[in-house]
Amino acid sequence: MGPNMLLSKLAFRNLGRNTRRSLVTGTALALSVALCIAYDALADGMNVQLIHSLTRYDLGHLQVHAPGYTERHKLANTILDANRVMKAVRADPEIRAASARVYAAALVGAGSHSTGVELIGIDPRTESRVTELAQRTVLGHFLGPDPTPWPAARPLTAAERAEDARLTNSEARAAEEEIDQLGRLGPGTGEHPPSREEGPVPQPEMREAQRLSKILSPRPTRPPEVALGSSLARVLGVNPGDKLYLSTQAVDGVAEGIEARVVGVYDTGTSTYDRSRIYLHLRDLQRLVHLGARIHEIAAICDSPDAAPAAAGRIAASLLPLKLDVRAWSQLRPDMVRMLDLNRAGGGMLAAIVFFVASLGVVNTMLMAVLERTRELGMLKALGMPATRIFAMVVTETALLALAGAVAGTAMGIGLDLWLVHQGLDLRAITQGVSMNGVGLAPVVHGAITPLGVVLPVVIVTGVCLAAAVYPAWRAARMQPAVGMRET
Amino acid sequence: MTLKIAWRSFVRHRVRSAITSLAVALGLAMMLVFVGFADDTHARMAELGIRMGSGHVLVEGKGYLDNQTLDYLVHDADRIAASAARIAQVKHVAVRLKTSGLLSAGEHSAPVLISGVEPGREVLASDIAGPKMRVAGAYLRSLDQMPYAKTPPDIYLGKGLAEQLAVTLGDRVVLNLSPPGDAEPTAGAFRVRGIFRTGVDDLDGAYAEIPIAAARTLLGLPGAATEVALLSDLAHTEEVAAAMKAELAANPDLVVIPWQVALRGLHEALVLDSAGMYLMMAIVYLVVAIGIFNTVLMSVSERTREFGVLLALGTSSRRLFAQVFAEALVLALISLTAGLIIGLSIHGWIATHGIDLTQWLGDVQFAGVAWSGRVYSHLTPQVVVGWTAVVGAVVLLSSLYPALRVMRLEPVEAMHHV
Amino acid sequence: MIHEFSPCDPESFPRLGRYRVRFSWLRCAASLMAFCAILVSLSPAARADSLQALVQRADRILRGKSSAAVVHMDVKTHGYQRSYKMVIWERDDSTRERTLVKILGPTSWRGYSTLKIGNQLKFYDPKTNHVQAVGNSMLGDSWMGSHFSNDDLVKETRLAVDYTPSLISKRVAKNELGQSATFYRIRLTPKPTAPVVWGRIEFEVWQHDDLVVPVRCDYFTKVGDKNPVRIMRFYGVKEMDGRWVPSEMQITVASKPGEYTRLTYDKLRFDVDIPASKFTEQAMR
Repeated sequence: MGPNMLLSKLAFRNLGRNTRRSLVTGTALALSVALCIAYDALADGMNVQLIHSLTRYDLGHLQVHAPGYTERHKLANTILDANRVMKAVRADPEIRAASARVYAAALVGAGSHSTGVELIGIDPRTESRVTELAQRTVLGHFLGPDPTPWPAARPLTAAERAEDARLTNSEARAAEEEIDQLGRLGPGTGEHPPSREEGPVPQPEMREAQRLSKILSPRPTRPPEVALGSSLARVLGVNPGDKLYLSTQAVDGVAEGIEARVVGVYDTGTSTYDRSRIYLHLRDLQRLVHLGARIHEIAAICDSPDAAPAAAGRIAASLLPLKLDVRAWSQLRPDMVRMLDLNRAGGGMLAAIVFFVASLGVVNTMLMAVLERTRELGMLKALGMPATRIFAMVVTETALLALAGAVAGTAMGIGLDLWLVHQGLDLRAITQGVSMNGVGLAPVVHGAITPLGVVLPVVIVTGVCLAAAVYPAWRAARMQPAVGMRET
Repeated sequence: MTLKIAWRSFVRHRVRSAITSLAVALGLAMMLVFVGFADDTHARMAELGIRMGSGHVLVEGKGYLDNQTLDYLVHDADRIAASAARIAQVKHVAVRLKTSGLLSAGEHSAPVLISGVEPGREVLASDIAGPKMRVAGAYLRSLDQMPYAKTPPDIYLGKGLAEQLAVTLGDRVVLNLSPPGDAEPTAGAFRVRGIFRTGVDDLDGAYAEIPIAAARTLLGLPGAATEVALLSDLAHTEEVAAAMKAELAANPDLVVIPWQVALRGLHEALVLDSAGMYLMMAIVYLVVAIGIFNTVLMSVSERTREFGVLLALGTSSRRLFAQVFAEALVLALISLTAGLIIGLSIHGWIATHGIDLTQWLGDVQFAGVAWSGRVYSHLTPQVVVGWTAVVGAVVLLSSLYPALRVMRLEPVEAMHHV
Repeated sequence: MIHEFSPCDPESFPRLGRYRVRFSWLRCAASLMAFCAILVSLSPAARADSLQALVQRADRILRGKSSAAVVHMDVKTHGYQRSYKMVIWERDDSTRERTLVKILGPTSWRGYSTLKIGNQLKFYDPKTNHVQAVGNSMLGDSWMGSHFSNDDLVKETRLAVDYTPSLISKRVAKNELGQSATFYRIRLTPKPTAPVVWGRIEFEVWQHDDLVVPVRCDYFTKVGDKNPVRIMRFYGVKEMDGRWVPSEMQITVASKPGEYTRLTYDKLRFDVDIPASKFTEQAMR
C-alpha cells in the first residue's frame, strides 16, 4: 500500500472515530455550501428576471439604428437599406429572431384628456418572437397580425396637379371675393352691415378636393388598432373598444391626425412602458407619418443575453461600409449592468463570511481531533513518521471532511435551488410592487441555477477548509514525540 | 462557584474557546457593522429622497397622488402650513405648487416640471436649494425680496435643462403654463438665478423652481398649492402624520401621506435591500449556531467520565445542567463582549471616516436617488442591545441540547466512557 | 420736475438750505442752465418716444384694427419645398387678438385651419374633423411645416410694447421705391417682465415722409450674442388697400442655411368688419 493510500485510510478512520463530531462539523459545512448555493440562485434569479424584464418586453438583446438615432430620435433618421440590414441580422448564427420598429412622438386625446406619447409601430408577427409584450395583455387582446387596410399613397399626375392648382385658385378667388364684400369698420359698428352669407362650397369642388386629398393622404378603411399600457389607459379613461385621437407630424412636416381604436391594454410593471407608449401596426404608423417602408430600429434576440455583445460586433462588421449603430442591451443600458453586478457582489460577500465562520468550526474540530490523539501522534513520530507526513495526514482528514460536506451541501443546495426555480420566493410579503431602477420585477422571484453559482461555493469551501487545516496540522506536526507519548 | 468552574473550563481549552468565541464575536461584529452600514445607507437614501423636493409627511388634495394634475389642489395652503408648523417634531414646512410646462429661450425649448416654492422655507426643507447641489449662481428670491420692481422673477433650474436651452446665469427664459380648467395658456418671463445638479437625470434635465407667488399669479390660483410638505426626521414620521391627520379631520378633500407612500419606489427598494441583508445574516447565524453546538457538545462529551463521577458522588443532574449552561453563558459573555468591541470599533471608524464607494460603483442612480458614494454607519443603543441579545440567544439555544443531554447521563455508563 | 419759477422772483426759487440765490445774474444763469438741462433731458426721451413710435408703426404696418388677407407661403427646407395658399382673418379687440388662418391649398393641407383667440391656439384637421387644442408641449413645433413655430403664432410680436428701443445707427439712403429715406437701425431690449424669448432684437426700418416701413428684423437669443439665430426680411413695398406696405416677408434660420419661409400678400384689406362668428370652431371647419 502506497504511503498516500495509507494516509487516506488513516484519515478516514480518524474521522470515523468521533462520528458525531465529524457529522456535525460536516453538517455545518454542508449547510454553508447549500445556503450559499441557494442564495446565489436567488440573486441570479433576480438578475435573470431583471434582464428579462428589460430585454423581453421591449429592448431585445440587441438593437440596430441609424447613427445618432438614439440621441435625438429624429423621425427622418431611418436605417438605410433596411432590407439588407435585416437580412444580415437574421443571418447571424446567434440571432434567434429580429423585428423592425418605427417611432413617432404624438399627442393622444380621448375626450377632454390629451397627453404626449410615443407611438411605436411593430409587426406583431415578428415582434412576438422577439418580445413578450403581447403576453402581458390584461384587457382585450393584442394587435392582430395584419395591418389596417390602407390604400397606398401615390403622387399626383400632372393632370391632377393642374386640377389641384385650379382648385386652389378657385378657393383663393372665392376668399378674395368674400374679403371684398366686407364692410369697413366704422364708429358704432354694433350693428353689422348685412354680411354676405357664406354660400355653400360648390359640391363638385369639395368632392374633387377630397378625392385629390385621398390620393396623397389616403385614409384607412377603418380606424387602426392600438394597444396601450394600463397606466395610460387609466389616465385617458379608455378601455378596449374606445376611440382615441392621435395627432402627430409626418416626416414631411404635414400635420397628420387619425382616429384609432383601442383593442388591448397591457401591463409590464415598468412605468415607462405602461405610461407613455402606444403600439400600432408597423405599416399603419409608416403610412401615418409618410415613411413609406422606412424603419428606425431593428430589435433582435439571441439564444441568451450573454451572446449579444459578440453578435452585435459581428453584425456591425458584416454590414460595413454601412455605418450603423449596433449595440447589445448591456451597452444600451450600462446602468442596469451595474445594478446586476451589485446584486452578484452581495452573494459573493455572503459566501466569504459564511465560509469563514464555518471554517472556524473546522479549525476547532480538527484541533480537537489532533489534541485527543497526541499519544498516537507522538508514537507515530517516534516510529519515524516525518512531520510533513503527519501534516499531510491532518490536511487530508480535513479535505475529506470538506469533501463530504461539499458533496452533501451541493446536493442539498441543488435541491433548494430546484425548489426555488419551481416555486419561487413570493416577495409580496415584503413589498407590494417591486422595481429596480424603473424595471419591474414579478412579485414571485424564481431561482436560476448557474454553474458558477454551484461550483463557486464548493471551491471556496474546499479552499477555506484547507486553510483552516493548517493550524491543527502544524500543531500535530510540531509535536515532540516524547511529550506526545507522555500525554494521557 | 458554578461560574468559577465554568470560567476554568473555558480557560482550560484556550485555543478551542478562543476560536469558538471568535466565531460568535465575528458574527455579532459583522451584524453590527452591516446593520449600521445598512441603516445609515437606507436612512441617508430616504433622507436624500425626502429632501429632494418631497417631505416626511405630505398634505395633498385627494386624488393628486394618482393623477398629478392641477384639478386636485390644497386650497388655503398657507393656513395649513401654519398649523403644520405648530406640530411638535416638525422641523420645517414647505408649500409647493407643481405643474408641468414648457421653458423656451431663443429657438430652444424643453418640457419641464415646475415647482412654485417659498424660497425662505424651501432652502431649509430641500437640498436642491442648498449649496451642495447648487453649481452656479444663487437660490431664488421671493417676489418681495427682489431689489427692483419690474424685474423678471428668478428661476432655478437643473444643469441638464440649462444645457438643453443653452442658457446660463442671468439669461432670460419664458415659461409657458396651462392653468386648470379651460383657461388660456399663460406665459411669463424669468431670469436664471441659479443652476443645480442633483445627479438624478430626471431632475437635472426636466425640473425647475420659481417663487410660488409667480406660479400662483401665472396660474390664477391664489393661496393654492399642490402639496404642503412637513419635514421632520425618519423616526417621528408616524407621529407627525397622525398629528396632521387629526388637524385636518375636518377637511375630507385633503389626505396626509407619509414618505413611504409618496416615494414608494424608493421605499420598496430599501425594504428589499434590508430583506436581502437579513437573509444573509440568518444564514451566517445558522452556521455559527451549528459551530457552537458542535463545540459545546465536544466539550461535554470529552468530560463524560468526569460527569459520571460527579453524578455518582451525588451531584444533581440539574447542577450539571446549570454547569454546562454556565459555561455557555461564559462563552456568550466573552464572545459578545469581544464582538461588541470589534463591531463597535469598526462601526466607529466607518462612522467617522466613511467609506467611499464611488470607486466601485461610480455614480449610481438608485430608485430615483443619486448616490454620491460616501457611506457611514449608524447604530442606536436599541439596535446594538437588540442584536447582542439575539446573538446571545443563539449561543444559549445552541448549547441547550448538549446541556440537556448531560442531564440524562447514567453515572455508571458515563464513568466507563472512553 | 419742472418747477414754476421766475428768474426774477426770489421767493419762487427753490430753497437751498437757508440760503436763497440773491444775485440776479446768478438767477438768470441758473434759470438758463435749468432750461438747458430740461432740454437735454427731454431729448433722449423725445428721441426714445419717436423711436417707440417708429417701432410701433413699422411693427404694426400689416395690421390694423382688423385685416383680411389672401397670402401664399413658400417653404423650402432640406427635405421638401412647397407653396401654400391661405386666407388670414384678424381682429384686434381691446380684450384680445383673434386670428383665423385657413389653408386653401395644396391638396394635403386644404381645409386645415388655425384659430387663435388670445393665448389659446387650436388646430382643425379636416381629415378627421377634429379640433385639437395646442398644449404647451406643442409650442416648439413648427407651424404647418414652416419656419414659424406655434409659439410664434401664439405670441405675435408686439415689439413696441414688450421691448425698449434705443438707436444704433441712422443713415440716409435710397429705399426700394427709389426714394430717399432715413434708415434707422434700432436695438430692442425686452422689458424685464415681458414673456418674450429673445434677448435682443435689431430692427431696421426706413422712414420717408410719413411712412415707416420695416426692412429687417434680427433675433438674438442673448443680449450679448453676435449672430442672430433668426432673420426676417421685408420686401415688395407697394400700395394695398390704400396703404404702402411690404407685401413680402421672408424668414431664415441661422442653423439651417439654405432654408426659408416666404409670405407674400396677394390681397389685403384693412379695418374691415369681420363678424365675430368668423372666430369660432365652426368657422374652422
